[in-house]
Amino acid sequence: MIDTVSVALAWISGASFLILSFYITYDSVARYTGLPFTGVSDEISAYVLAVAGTWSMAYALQVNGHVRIDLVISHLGEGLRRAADLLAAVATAVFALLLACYGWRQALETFSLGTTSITMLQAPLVVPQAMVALGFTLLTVQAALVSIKILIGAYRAPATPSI
Amino acid sequence: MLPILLAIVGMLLACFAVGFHVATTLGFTALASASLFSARPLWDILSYIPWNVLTTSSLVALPLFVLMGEMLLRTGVTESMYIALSKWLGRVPGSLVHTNVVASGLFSCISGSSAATAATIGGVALPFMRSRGYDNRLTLGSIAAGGTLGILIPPSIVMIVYGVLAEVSVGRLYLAGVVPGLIMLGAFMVVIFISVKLKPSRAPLEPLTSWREKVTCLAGLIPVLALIFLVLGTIYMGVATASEAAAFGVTGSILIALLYRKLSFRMLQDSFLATANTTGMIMLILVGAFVLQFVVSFLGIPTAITQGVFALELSPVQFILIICALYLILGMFMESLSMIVITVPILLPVMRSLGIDMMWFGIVAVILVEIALITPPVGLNLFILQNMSRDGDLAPTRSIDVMIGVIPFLAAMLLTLAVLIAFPQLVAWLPAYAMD
Repeated sequence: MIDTVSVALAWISGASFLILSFYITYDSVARYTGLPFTGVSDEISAYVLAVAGTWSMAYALQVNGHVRIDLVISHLGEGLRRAADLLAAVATAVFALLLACYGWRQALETFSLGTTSITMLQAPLVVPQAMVALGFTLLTVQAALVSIKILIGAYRAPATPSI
Repeated sequence: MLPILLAIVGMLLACFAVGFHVATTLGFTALASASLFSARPLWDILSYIPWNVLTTSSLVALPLFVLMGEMLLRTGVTESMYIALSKWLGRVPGSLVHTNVVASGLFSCISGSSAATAATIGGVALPFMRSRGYDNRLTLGSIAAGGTLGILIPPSIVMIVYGVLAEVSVGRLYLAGVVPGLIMLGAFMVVIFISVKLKPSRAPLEPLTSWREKVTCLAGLIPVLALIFLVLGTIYMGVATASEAAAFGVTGSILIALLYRKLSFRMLQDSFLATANTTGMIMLILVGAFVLQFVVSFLGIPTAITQGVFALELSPVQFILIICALYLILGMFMESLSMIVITVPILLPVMRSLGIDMMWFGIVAVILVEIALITPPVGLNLFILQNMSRDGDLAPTRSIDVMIGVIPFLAAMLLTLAVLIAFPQLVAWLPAYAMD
């Protein structure tokens, strides 16, 4: 269930980057050719990046995409390696939980103050901030799920991709 | 201040040693340092720093370039490009080995990742070259080293990360990477030429191809060249920011996928998920890196290091050489992005106070990261090539073969680095010419 949600949000993130590209392309071309353009693509891009970036984090964890330096642990035996995997997943769950808690706190503050962006768009900031906090929350849940899977021996880490 | 610095470095190393994720390592080190050494609580930074990082508009180029690369990988454009280049370079001493590095250079213009470049060119070249009797070590070395061009020749993912951390325009960094990228490409070709002249059996010449065939094959290069113009040309002409150029690139990739009849739901789905994977990983690392950067600055560590450097009376060049040595050592054990996000926040203020041009240092750092990709024991491109050459019926490649294969190319990279340190204007010239 959690895995399915992570994949779905990652899919939405990827698709939103494609739609964002079309939008930026149109807005830039329109600016130079005299067609009507919005002129707020920078601000919209930033919100899409924030939301899609955080919504991708849980999926990256699910497919073992978050980079680790495994110089030492790759030489450990099966048992110790599993313990290291568990420790890493739990630590990430704690870090993600902190980010989620402070993310929700910021969104609630913004909501109570009714803060909007100081731009032409005057976007209600609570919307993207709550979506970002949701992304961190899902990362927390995914990290907890990975921890449980490692604990019961049901986790098989795919190879780590990197840039 | 030294005990605090040592404690922070110790915490980083300890978290890495037990195999924490890089982002978690940075975040934990920051929060633990803040709790231990700061007089006032800094937990509130977890509210606003992640939001500020995630909404940095120059970072938008990152997922868009990743998406562009992922879609292009699935269009088959690389195969046509490689075949076209091989027809033109097949009779030069070194033949397909030259094709490897030139194709890597060209592919680097549409991909921001070294691993993707090495894997893509390796996937096309390796099976064919091994069956044709090319020297295994030279072949592997050329692809592993050629692949590193992915992060030097724009667009480059590492440059976006560096640009955001060091507050340098990504567009300027991209233009700054062009000349060093071409110098390095040329240096690789010289290495291949000399190697084959010394022992011609390392690379058999390819069969003669007619001019008609050569010209016809150029059609395979047109989509890639058009895309390069769309991405780099628009930055160079000053009509687009890096993010806009990336958006053009994605749109162009969709058109290429349509042209090659490869646009499908499956292709898009795979590209979306691969993009989400890379983006999620990098964004979380950046959140951790900026939290650490804030804490480190708040505790006054960069100021202390700067004072230490001044006390040692080091010249900027001496300081850079020390940093190079540090990166070369780190590069043997660390992954590319981690090297940048850990070192730049600490070194940045020192560099600024020494009057070092941050754009120039960005290029130097990227080359050092490239070297890290092919230096054992931990070199990502070495692993990729060794894994890829396990496929097929031929004898599996030993890791030592790849390591020996990259040595001459490593020498070429160090030489290029030395040239860029001696003549920094080679880096600064193009951005100044195009943008000032």
